[in-house]
Amino acid sequence: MSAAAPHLGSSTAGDAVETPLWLSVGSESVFTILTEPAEATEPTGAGVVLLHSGVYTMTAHSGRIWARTASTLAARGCSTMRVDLTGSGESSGVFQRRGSGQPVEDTSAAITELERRGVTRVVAVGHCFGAVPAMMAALEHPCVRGLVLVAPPLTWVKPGQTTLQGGGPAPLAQAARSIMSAAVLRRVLTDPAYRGWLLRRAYRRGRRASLDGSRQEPPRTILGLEPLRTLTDRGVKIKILYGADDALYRDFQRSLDDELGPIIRRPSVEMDVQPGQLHNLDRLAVQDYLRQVIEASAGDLLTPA
Amino acid sequence: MANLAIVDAVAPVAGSLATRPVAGGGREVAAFLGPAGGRVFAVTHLPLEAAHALVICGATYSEQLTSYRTDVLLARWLADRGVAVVRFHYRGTGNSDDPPGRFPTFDTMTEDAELVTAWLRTCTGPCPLAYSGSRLGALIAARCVSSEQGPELILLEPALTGRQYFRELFRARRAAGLRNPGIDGLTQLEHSGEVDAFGNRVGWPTYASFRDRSVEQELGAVPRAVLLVQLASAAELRNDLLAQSLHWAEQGFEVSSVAIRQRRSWWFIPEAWESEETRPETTELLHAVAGWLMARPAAS
Repeated sequence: MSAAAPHLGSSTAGDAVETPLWLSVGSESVFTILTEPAEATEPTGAGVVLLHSGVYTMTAHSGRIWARTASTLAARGCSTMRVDLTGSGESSGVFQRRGSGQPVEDTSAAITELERRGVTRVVAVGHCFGAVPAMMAALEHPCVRGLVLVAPPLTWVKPGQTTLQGGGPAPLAQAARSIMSAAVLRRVLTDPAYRGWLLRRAYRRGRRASLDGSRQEPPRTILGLEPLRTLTDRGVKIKILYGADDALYRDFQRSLDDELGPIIRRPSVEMDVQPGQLHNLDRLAVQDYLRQVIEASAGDLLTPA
Repeated sequence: MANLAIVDAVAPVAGSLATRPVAGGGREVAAFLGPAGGRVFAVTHLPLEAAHALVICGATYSEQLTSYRTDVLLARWLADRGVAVVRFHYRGTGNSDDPPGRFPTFDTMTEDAELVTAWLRTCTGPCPLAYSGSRLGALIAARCVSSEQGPELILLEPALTGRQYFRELFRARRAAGLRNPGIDGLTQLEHSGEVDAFGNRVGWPTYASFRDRSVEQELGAVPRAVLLVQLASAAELRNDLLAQSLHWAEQGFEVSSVAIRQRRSWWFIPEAWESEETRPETTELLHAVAGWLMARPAAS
């Protein structure tokens, strides 16, 4: 093999300086990548913490969306820290889907590290589950001035459930409508692989529905109610993004009829619902939209109020 | 056992790497390798003394996400047992920079694997080297192995040919377009030069550089040890993998194969969350790979 001697290693990436870091959080090592403005760019004191959705992602996130966002923000003088929550990506430990404890401590440590490096104003961005520690950690850090919650589980959560189990499957009629297009029916008839995938999906849904039906429904609570109330009282700007077809959006809509509604209608809260699905970030157009939202939110912080 | 010349021996540029100690005296080092604008993000898992070394050529696109934590756990499991491991993101993916021409190709991905191999070598000194390739990464691992005498090859649910891989990718993409199946991915790739596959930009240069390649062709005919791992819903080794292993065996390769039943798809992030650490198939994989590798002759 004719490999060149390893050049170890420039950490500059265009207008950015990237530094891998392991943060000690309790007994865990939380992996992060800090992206700061390059020497030629004046730091603004603004910072962004990027939190992914869970165990299947890592610091770059789907389609490298976090990596690209960090690079763009650095060119504008904004530092970012993208975080592998404990048990995901390069971090140690086992992933925990909790609204308290380790994920919140991980997020808090990332914000503290940004503050230690001169950041005074922070936007915390959380995708799906990442929205939960983003909200909770924001409560502890007055430097957090903005939140971007992407398809967050602000949903009915049954006591004893983990947060994401609260987002149930689509009602049967809605699921059926979604597959009854002519193109889909044509593919069902002509494509065995597609037919197999669809049948397996239907089987899983049916099995889950029968299991859920046999359980007694316990009382429910709304996740995020108190954090959002406190944060909006504090003047934190909150952007909540959903796709109209996101299962978590349906649950969110149901929650609006109750106590969550008045909080969501406060002037510091901005809602945007995109057509289709946002939750999986599995289209480039959706990723571009999200980058624009994050960059605009960070842009609000570039000049100190 | 080879003495481990830890990365401290390589003069690092400030901020380019991070080290964390792990139980047993080893450490993990994350770093950006290579020049500005062409950096490769890599992580080494270094035991105190390395008896073997392994380069993991990971999967790509959405498969990079679904297999990421498995690769991390595999590397840690092996490092605990005296195997120095390096994992990396090909340029154009993950935390690495874009390659020239923006899209990764077979050549740029092979260069990345060679770069991290050289880094791992500076960390371990001389000890038996193996490559592991998952899915499309199997072609990269096979090429790297072929250019050196001795290395062993581990193939995890390999795409045996580039054409087969992209056919599967376009099929999965079609299946995912539940409400708007859209036009065929290959047709779109031919017309517009790139296609959106689960939020990843797949470019014509990538496709064109892989479509006529196969693991067999890249590996060459020099007999060597190969572990073939099927990670799919079937309990038995499927026909193409079986045929390939028989063919290699006829050529004098030392082929071992194992079929591990995996419920989830490589392409789709599952709706139901499941900790990687508790998945029985992950545990089975760690044991299969470690068992095979540890049985190979070690550094003296």
